[in-house]
Amino acid sequence: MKSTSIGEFEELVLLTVAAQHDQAYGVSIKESLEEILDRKVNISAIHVALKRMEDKGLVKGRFGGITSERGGRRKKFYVITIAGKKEVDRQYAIRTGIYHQIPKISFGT
Amino acid sequence: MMTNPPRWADRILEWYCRDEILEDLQGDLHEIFRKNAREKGLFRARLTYIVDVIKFFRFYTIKQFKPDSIMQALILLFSYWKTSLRNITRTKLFSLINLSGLAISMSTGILMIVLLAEIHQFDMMHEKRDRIFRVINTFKNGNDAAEPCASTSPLVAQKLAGLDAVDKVVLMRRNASGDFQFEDKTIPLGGFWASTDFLDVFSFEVLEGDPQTALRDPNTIVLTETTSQKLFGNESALGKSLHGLNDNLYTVTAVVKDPPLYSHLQFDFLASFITFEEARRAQGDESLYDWSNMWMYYTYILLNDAAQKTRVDQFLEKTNQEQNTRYENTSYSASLQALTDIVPGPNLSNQTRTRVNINMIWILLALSVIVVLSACFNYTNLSIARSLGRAREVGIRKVIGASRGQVLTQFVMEAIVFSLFAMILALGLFFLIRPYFLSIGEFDLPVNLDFKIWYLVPVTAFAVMTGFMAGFLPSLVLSKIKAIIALKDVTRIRLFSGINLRMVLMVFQFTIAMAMIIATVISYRQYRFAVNFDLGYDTENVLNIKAQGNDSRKLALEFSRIPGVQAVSRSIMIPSTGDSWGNYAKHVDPADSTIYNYNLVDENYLTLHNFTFLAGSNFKELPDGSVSREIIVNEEMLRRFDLGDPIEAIGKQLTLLDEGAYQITGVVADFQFKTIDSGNRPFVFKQSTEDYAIINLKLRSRDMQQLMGQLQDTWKQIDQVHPFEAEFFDDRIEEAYAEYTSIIKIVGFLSLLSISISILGLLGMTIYLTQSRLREISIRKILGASESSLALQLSRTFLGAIIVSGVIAAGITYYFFEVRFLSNFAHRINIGILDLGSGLIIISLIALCTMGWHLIKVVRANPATILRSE
Repeated sequence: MKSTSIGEFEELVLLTVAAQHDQAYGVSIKESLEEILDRKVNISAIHVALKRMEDKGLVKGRFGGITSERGGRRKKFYVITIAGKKEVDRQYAIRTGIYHQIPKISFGT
Repeated sequence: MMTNPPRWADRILEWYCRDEILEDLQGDLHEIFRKNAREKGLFRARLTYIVDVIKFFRFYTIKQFKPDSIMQALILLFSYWKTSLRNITRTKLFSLINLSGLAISMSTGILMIVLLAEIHQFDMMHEKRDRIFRVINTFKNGNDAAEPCASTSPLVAQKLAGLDAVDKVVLMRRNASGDFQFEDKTIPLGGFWASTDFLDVFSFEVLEGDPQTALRDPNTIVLTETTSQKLFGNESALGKSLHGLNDNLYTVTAVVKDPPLYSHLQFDFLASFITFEEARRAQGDESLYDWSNMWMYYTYILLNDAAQKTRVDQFLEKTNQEQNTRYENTSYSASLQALTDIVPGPNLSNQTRTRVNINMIWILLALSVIVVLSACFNYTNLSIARSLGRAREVGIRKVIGASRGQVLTQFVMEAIVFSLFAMILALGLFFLIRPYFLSIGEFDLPVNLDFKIWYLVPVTAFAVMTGFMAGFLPSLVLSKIKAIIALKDVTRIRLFSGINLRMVLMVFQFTIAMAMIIATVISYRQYRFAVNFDLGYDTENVLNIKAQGNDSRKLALEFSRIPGVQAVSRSIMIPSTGDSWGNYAKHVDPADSTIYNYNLVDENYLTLHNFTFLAGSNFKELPDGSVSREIIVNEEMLRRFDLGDPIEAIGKQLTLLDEGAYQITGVVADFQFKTIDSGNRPFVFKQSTEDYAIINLKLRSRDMQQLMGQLQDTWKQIDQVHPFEAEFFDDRIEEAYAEYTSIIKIVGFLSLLSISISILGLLGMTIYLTQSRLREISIRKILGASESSLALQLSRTFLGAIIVSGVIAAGITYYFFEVRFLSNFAHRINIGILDLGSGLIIISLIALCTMGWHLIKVVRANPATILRSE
């Protein structure tokens, strides 16, 4: 079984794929992330992340959605798989767990 | 309105990207492009698109070469090779023309490659070279131009030694030369005084002795292998004592291998610097560490870490400012120069040996690139012109299924094959021109131009690149040809911007050739002007002999006895050849000092050389031991200090720095003291208190050879050790302008090359053009056109190109010479119409001959036979 550890950026992409549920593709993921993170995201980085995760079995792709804007080319939609959902849940659990361990920190007035 | 992203970027993407992922990837890019075009404007959108295409160029997106397509590619390549060969042999004439053109130009390319490879090797043998820096000094006096020098003051070495960033400092002095004696042998040697760390910093291979201590103590000396051989034969030199420099005894502490050819430091020996320093101090001379004492010493430093260079630069900046406050009009500014920047490098004064001027290298490089381009354009021109002939072949290939890319590859391959053949020829040519190039020894390039085997790698790469450049354009044209049309009716094919492009290329070639010709003509004229320039005194038949330590009076006496020697005089230097000796002088105002040049001469000098006296009288013979307080000056000196006209100036006094007051007893007319690129400076003639280094003889004889023989015999009687060194003044002057002879030779050579290339191109074009218009010519002839009008019509396009080239070439060379080159000379020729037109005239003549011969053949042919065979 391939190791399923993923990087920070890939995790964000994976989350967005899950959030957009069956409507996620390159450009939609890019725009969503740019809005949330408030910084520029490069489309090639997203494509690389999607490809890696597809190889690891965390997402699955299907073709569809031709528009004239794309010059007649199909979109590739990505859907999260069971393994992918497990991974997302796992990451969430880890982060929330540590977060709840933080005592009240006062940073001064 | 649907705008599209840049087509060419799209095509690049399609070219490199795998088919499986191309669709959605490209789709995404297009979608983003549209959005950006709407929101941010077309420019931003296109920019982002291009950047993204580049960013997508990754391992996972690139098409993989599948095994069977490699086989395919190889088979295809092999078939291209066969077709190329077939094509080449089929059109022998054109092939020959193209081949020669390419070969000729590539031989210069090869020359440049070898030259650069060799020069690059300079000083590469030093292990610590990345951390070694030389301290150079820029000297500026008053309003004179700043003069950068390779030498600096020892004070710099002292100050730098205290810095953290500096690991070691090497201090050297030049002009350590003289006779060395061991037992019965006396040998003249030349070398440096060098400080203790010299052998540590520089990597000269030590054969005997300890490099750490060899130069530490006074009166020690390090010899090179050859020197040791000369003095001691096969015996070990260590520990032996030599009698030499400054009448000292030196102990040999080490022997090193001879400095290689590629070292900017050349020497027969190294004497320990401390010997020199102590000797100076013993004489009471404390000026060694003066900031202004910068003419004879070299300082090299070894940094702990090359990155520390900026710190040292800053330190030097500060030191410069501190030290220069002492001097009013003059400044000495020290700075660092990396060891690897010495050769090739900027033109500094006082270099340790002849330099390789980096500007010269750039110029040579530019010129050879131009020549290669010229040949490529030949190929391009001819190939495009011949496209019609190949059109049917292209049509068939496309019908069988060749893609446009494949057709393109085929023709580029053909050009590369061509180029590789040309390369073989070029290599042969290179060996032919190599001795010619090396003989341009005037700029004394210490290179052998040995061709090492590994040079074949860059040379082949160069050949392939040339082939690609030459073949790319015609391949584009040929691959565009549409299959159906090609097969159906060959004459209906329209060549892509055919005429204009070809004419442009032709004009380019002609312009280059003409510009070279004009450059040669002008350079040659300036050179002859310089050599024949009236210096204001006589140099004809004056022979200058080096005294080499012998009593000059005795030599003068002996020489004067020989019949044929009309007059004898003595001096310490030879003017008008580039050397200069200078000092400072003041008149009445203690704050107003000027730099002047001088020559120490005896009482016969001025009359021997026929200097024009404007007032006063010549020197008288000085009895031994007495000192004269008289000087003879030139008009420029009078102007400088407002001394009035020559008669008024007699009797006035000048104070010379470090020498005291002198009285003006004579005034001579201005003469050209430096080479003709400089104007005049104030000049002083003085008599010397020490011995003179040069004997001047005015000769007159029918049999010069016999006279020279007699002189040589006389010399041998007085001095058996040193060879007789004499040179005619006129020869020496020619040598001073030797740099220009080398420029002329090179430019002349390149002119020949570019002319041949252009003419080959012209020939090819003419042949092609007439062949394709054979039918038209015959018909016209039948209809009654005269032969001359036919010839004129055919050559009209070429005549136009030649005239346009002539104008452009004249413009370019005029600008270059008038504004850039000749403006550096105080005395120079005027560029005339004939000079500028020379290019046009010569090319036109040659073109007329080549074109003419062929045209006549064609135009005279019997129209009936031509039409019958159509």
